Amino acid sequence: MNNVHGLIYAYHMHPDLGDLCKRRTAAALPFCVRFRLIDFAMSGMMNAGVPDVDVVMQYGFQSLMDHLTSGRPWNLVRHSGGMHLLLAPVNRGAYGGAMDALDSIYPRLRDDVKRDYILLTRGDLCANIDMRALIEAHYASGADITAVCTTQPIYGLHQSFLPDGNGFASDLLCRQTTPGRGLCSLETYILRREKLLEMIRWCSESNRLHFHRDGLLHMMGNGWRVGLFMHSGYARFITSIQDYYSASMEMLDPIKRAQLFPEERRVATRARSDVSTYYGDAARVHDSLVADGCIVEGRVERCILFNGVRVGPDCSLRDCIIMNNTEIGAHTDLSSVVTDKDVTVSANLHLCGSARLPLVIPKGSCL
Amino acid sequence: MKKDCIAMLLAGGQGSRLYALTRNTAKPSIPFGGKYRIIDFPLSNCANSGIDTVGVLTQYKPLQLNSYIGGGSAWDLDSSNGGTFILPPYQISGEKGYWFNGTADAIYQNIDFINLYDPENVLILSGDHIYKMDYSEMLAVHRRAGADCTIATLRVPLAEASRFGIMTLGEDGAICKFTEKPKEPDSDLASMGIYVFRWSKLRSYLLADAADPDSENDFGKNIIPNMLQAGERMFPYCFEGYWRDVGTISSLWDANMDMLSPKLLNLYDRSWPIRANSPRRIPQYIGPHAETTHSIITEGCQVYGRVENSVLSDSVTVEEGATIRYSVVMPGAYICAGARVEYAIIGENTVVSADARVGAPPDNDANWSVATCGPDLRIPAGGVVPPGAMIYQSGEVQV
Repeated sequence: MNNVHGLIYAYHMHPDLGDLCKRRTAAALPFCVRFRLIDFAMSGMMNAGVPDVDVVMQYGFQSLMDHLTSGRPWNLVRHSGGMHLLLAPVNRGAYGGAMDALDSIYPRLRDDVKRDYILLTRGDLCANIDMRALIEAHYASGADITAVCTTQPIYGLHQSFLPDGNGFASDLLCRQTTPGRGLCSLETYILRREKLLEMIRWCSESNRLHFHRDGLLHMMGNGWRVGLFMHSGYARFITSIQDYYSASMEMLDPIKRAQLFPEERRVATRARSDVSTYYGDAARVHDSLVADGCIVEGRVERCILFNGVRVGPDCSLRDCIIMNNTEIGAHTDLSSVVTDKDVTVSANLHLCGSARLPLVIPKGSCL
Repeated sequence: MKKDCIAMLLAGGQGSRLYALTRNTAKPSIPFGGKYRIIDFPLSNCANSGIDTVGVLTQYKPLQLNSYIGGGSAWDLDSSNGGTFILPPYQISGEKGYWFNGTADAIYQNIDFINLYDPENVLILSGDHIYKMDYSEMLAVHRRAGADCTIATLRVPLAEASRFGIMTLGEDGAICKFTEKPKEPDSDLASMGIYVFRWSKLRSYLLADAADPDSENDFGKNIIPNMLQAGERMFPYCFEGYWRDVGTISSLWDANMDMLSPKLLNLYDRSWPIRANSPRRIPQYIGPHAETTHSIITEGCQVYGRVENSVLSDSVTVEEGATIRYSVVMPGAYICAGARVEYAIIGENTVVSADARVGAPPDNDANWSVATCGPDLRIPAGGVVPPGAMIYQSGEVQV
């Protein structure tokens, strides 16, 4: 068994995700038809044989808990260990940063966690990282901490490492907003448990909240060597509606889809048993990803249809993301629209967003 | 642990008329209707009817079926005081043990299993029928009549009646005559092979049947006629609705095509879900030039070609320039560019290479029938599988 304890941050409620994250944490965001963002982190841990996984939550966790259930889809129902859902203590304000969140679970990490290594990742990271290779690379390199990086340009707020040419980082650049120098960090790290405890203690004593600009920079100043592990496949943080929309649409590209869902590292998700999808006589579906359980009678182009969607006759859907159990009435015309779950779009409506500004219809709306 | 009713599901049949599909697996594990395997229907019906204990009797090539059923959690049949139990034939101390020799013998050999639950009634089911039925209604009818045995029945065309067990009812509504596959049927009331027995009665008839060396150990041929002769209270449960026995290639194909018409059997009805132990697959992708009309398609499929009036199970790939019409394509099959699959059944993981032809439209040919390719075959490029052919070795195909 693996000597690694997994820890997933699932407390982010990015304001730029707007109505999509009004009541759910970003990690619980439905993605690519049958998945939720956290499935990538959970499955990465599962595929690496990580036996214990903690999920750190604070707000909007109901939908995440409904999704994770007991952890069975990721083989995390175990007599000892397995999945643990960690809720923020009630008397605590919103986490100011990852060190704040880690500080709140410090006693657990110190006393209850049995493994010698901690693998940290984010629940809103859309990437299928080979965590088994990461763990092995960390053991082999002798680094104090190993960071997963990508050469792909990342446009949102991110941190970058400058490589020293020998597989280690020479510097850390915090809070970058455009692709530039260095390798973008996917904020997925592995380190010895006592090193993480040391970092949490220092941050707590000096009232520092942030993982990178407070904790890691300080530790690097104290001589920590940061190993770099390159992730070559698809990677994106989902922190805004634009991120969500473009990442979803990128899944129509077979190469990117194969990078995120490789055969050798399957992505597990909550089991659901739906009937197959029915395409009617007049259905015209092109370049679309479709879940099971749909009934499609209209025109659908470059769309993502989630489970149980009904597309009525003589509809036209272009560049849309239609989440679970949405019903689209006859003769509607939708373009660049994102409907959250359980939306009803009545007949004859025309709705139009754009790729830069997709129109988001909140969960349960009836138009 | 006393139970009111447990179900025993007969899933050991070889399905010899489907031989190209059942050479390596039992009939109940044949894929059906896109998402499903045949056994999903009785298992889901049990779960929906509140029957939480199901014994599945397996015998012929059970490996795929065993792993498919697993612990029964896919159907919510994994409760702590019941669940799904695979019951294969077993060794008896000092003796060799025996194969199940007939449907009644299969139950007879599992009397000890049923006794564990000490049920009032036992529901006997078949693993090769496609239907939705509320067994709790049948049980209610059984109890109200104070019956020893209740047989689910269906009206069938008289011309087809000789394929079924046929019953005649007396004035009190009880069954007064039962003939298994009569040459000259005198009634259109057919048995669906679904029975509820009062367990204490059934057990004594099973013991007597096992002691009779001349018996064929069959419910339809022996147990039911014997009970009738002895004057036990036997009633019909008249079922109205969709029910198909899928024991032949043409009935399997027909029933799959029926799934394209929700009016016959609505799989989209959420009040009676048919569940499957689905593999984890990514969503289906319908390509930029694909045509998908009047078809059922399942996750994991990648469709770049033309699919019309067909049923595709999970993970089927249809290349651009391939055509599938009026066909049933089982999981993992791969249809290459230029191939034409019409009025056919393609087995699991079979590859239909470029420009091959499998099956053809009926075109008023009296001898026409559906073409079948078994699992794990490679139909060579340009190969032809004519209508009615049943291929289970790649070498059989003409090029």
